Amino acid sequence: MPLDVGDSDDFIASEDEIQQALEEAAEETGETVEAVAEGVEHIMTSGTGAATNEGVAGAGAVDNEDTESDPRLEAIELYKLRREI
Amino acid sequence: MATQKETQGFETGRIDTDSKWYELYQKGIELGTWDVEKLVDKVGFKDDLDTWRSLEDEEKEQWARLIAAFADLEQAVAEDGRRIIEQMSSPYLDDNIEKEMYATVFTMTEAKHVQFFDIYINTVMKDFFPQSSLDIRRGGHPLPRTAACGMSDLGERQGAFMAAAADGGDPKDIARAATIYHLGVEGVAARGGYYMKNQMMSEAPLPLLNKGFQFVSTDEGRHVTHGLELLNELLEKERAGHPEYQGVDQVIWEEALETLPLVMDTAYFVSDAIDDPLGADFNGLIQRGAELWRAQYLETLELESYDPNAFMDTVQEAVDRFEDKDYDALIERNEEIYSRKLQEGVA
Repeated sequence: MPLDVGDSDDFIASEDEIQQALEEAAEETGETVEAVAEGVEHIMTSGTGAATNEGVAGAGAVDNEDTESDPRLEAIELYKLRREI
Repeated sequence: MATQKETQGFETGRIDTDSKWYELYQKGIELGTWDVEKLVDKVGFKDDLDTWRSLEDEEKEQWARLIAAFADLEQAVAEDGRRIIEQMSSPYLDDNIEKEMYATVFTMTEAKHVQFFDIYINTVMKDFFPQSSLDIRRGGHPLPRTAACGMSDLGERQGAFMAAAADGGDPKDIARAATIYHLGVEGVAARGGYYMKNQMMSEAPLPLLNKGFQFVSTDEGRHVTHGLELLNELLEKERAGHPEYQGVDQVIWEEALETLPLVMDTAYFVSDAIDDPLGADFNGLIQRGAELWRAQYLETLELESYDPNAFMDTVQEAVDRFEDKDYDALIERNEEIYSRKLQEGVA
């Protein structure tokens, strides 16, 4: 599992797609894949361990065709945006 | 405590890099220092303005009710940020520099949330927020929609308990303040708000607002973790038998129950009270709220006072009361108060 964020019906992307997105983010940000994954896991699980961050997850990814509404991909996009701003 | 961060090849002297508070501090630095002005410059307002202008008035009203709550409560928590820093030096909490380092980042993030929502309502939603300059405290007034629902009382209650806790409060004062601030406002009310915005975004996508919410919610997640860590520290001392900490468990549970109807009033105000045109989904929110409630109070804090039936019983009692409220009349009355205070030159 490239990300340790539990399981969800909203996770529609494959593990390979997540791994590829992490590698691309690492290349774009100049960080290691592990560092990106740690930041993305924080974005998704911060708060109570039993509750994912719904501010990022679920329908929060609306209209972002790049992420196909998978909250893990949305969180990776958010991580990259954070590095820009 | 000196520690060695082997993976990064450095050592520290007085800072414990293994501390949970250091981890929260470091994540705050890495992820919480996003720049609001750069965000609005990068994403822009155009798509949000296009969507906003296409909405019916009742749809705009629903967004305005939700965002008013965030605009005012973010200011309330930001104004209490200095009290968080004071609270960290309480003799009843374990003294460590990592807590104080974290508290400084915490306060900065809350200020940015105020900045984001203030920019947003005055740039995109101006027709529904013609007046928004009053301070919610210091003789000012909450936005009329906030004042019409439970969110205003929640903010006032939080301010009173935060002041008591910061001003030499005992462990029960600190526990009550942390419960309403981190678990009530940030843990249940804000996360319930994210649930509703997710539903509403499906019908009326506002990309800049959504990106702002994503950054805000990531920051708030750290703040909830902070609250749970703090409360667990107090509970551990109570369970170890320290006399001054007795009653902490009961106080946390009492405050959870006091706060819940105010949160539910706000959720009802945003959804079913106006026939839910954008599908915020009050019933779905109750189910999500129940999950968050159980995760916080039972699974994480393991409160002895926890009653599994209390959530639904409290919600049901509260809903019975909301159905008779005339929220439109309350908004109108508070608009009059707001205008009068502006004319009187209140800060």
